[in-house]
Amino acid sequence: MKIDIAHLAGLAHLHIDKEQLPQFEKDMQAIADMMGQLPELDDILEPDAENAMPLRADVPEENKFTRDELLANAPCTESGCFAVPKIVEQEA
Amino acid sequence: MKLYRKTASELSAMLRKRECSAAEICKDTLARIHVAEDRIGAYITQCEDVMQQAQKVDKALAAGEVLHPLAGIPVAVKDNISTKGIRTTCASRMLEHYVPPYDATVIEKLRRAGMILIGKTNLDEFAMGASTETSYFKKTHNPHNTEYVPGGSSGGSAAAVAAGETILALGSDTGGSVRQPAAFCGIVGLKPTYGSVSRYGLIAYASSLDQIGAMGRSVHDTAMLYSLICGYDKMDATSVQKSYPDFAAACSADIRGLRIGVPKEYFGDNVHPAVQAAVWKGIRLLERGGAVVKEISFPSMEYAVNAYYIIASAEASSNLARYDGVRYGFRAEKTDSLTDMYVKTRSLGFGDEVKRRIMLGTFVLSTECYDAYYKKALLMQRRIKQEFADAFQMCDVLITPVYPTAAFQPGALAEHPLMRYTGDICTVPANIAGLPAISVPCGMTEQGLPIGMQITGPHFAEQTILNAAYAYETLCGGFPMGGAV
Repeated sequence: MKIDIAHLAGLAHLHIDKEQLPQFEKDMQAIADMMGQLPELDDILEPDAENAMPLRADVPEENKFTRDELLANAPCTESGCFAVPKIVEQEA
Repeated sequence: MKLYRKTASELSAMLRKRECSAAEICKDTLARIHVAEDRIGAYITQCEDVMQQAQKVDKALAAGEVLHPLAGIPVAVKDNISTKGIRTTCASRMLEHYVPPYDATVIEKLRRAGMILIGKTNLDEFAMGASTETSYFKKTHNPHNTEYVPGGSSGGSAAAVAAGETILALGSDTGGSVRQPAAFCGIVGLKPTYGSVSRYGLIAYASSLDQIGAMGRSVHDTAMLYSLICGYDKMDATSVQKSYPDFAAACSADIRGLRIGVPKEYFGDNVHPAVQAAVWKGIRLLERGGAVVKEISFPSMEYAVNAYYIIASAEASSNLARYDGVRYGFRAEKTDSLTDMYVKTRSLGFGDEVKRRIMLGTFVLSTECYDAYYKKALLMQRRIKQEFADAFQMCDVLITPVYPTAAFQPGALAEHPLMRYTGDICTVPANIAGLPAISVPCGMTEQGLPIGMQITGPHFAEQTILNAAYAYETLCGGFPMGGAV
């Protein structure tokens, strides 16, 4: 299957420079071609009922972190919240 | 006294007989780092409180407290395992300044046992690679010959153990990242059964394959560390509810009657003759020790790498979606909208190999490709698991090479993007099937580079593979700490 780097990069929120596109495309095409060499198996996928993951009880627990600890790694905070660039356009 | 050259088992005994103190062990190890680190480059971050940690252990020992056998023993930790208050970078610009607010479960266990956390070791960015060359920070060099790579992705941990810059180390293994660098650096590396060691605090690459593993210079040391870190943890939903024995105490070199399966597909033309010869020599030695060897076939092995890279990159693309510059990690400057901020942050924060794998994952999960790639890979995973189950009806362990070659020189993989992936052929099957596998040194190339032998067992048969490894170590007279540095 043909690899379209510009499209994939867009889906993954990545930008690949124009000069880098041919190399990325060449490398990834070779890898995708290799990965694609899998036989058709006459089998069906079903959930692994024997090894189901146990669910924990749906009860609230005390959070072991303070708000400050969790905000400490954020690149930008405001009034105890994570801050991001403006997302609402201003009316002209 | 060169305490850094001793094994954890020896040091543990010496500590209890008061022949040395934890402070002396640490002083010696730090001195060794001071001498070797410039040439090796194993660490991204060195801990500043090493001597304080050691003094605490010495005080407890002096007070007659009963401590864990690994108390006072230095341990290095791969820098994708979260350490409270110590930055954890995944060798990525994305997490260059990230300081976790919590310890991974395995770190809590090390600390509770009184092990001395020496530092955080270098890796391929987000553990994606086989040579530690994709690290954002530095290159790590193979202690046996610094012109060669240490392997990867746990290359820093392997090099630190081999060079005496620590006694023990933790790595993580998604497709061979503990076993392959262990082989390249001439040490022991154990990738445990999936679900036996908690992944809580291990920064995710491919969650269904990732597993934290133990690295040391002897089988007994590796077993001691594994015994400490394994166990059920409610913080990891894939952790298995099970109790575990003391693997080190139960180590036995008696392998009479052990049935060794040798799958011929692991010894194909792509595997270097020196590697084939060394591994066969190891198998014959075990045979002379009383094991029974039978050649078997593993027909789907040729598809393991394909299935592995589809599953791993699919999970990576999902796991690494969290790096958006909002809650932690790098954020690009001069952005004009939220989307622009995401794109610039991710494009500047990730290296090329990480981007490649995210995009490969995006590709195989896209609507047009899902059936042709992802679904087929999951079916192949089932087939491979079944073939292992069939093999373990006939034998107790499988013995194979770890990697088709010994260590290579930097840049070798960059020239051959496919080899970056196909080289993992011997290690990925264990991850796909969730099986335990151990790498032990089994010889050297003419250039003096170590070769590794892999012993794989059924789920939770760590004791069986450790015993086989221990028997090999005993029969061959031990693994000397060699190296040019």
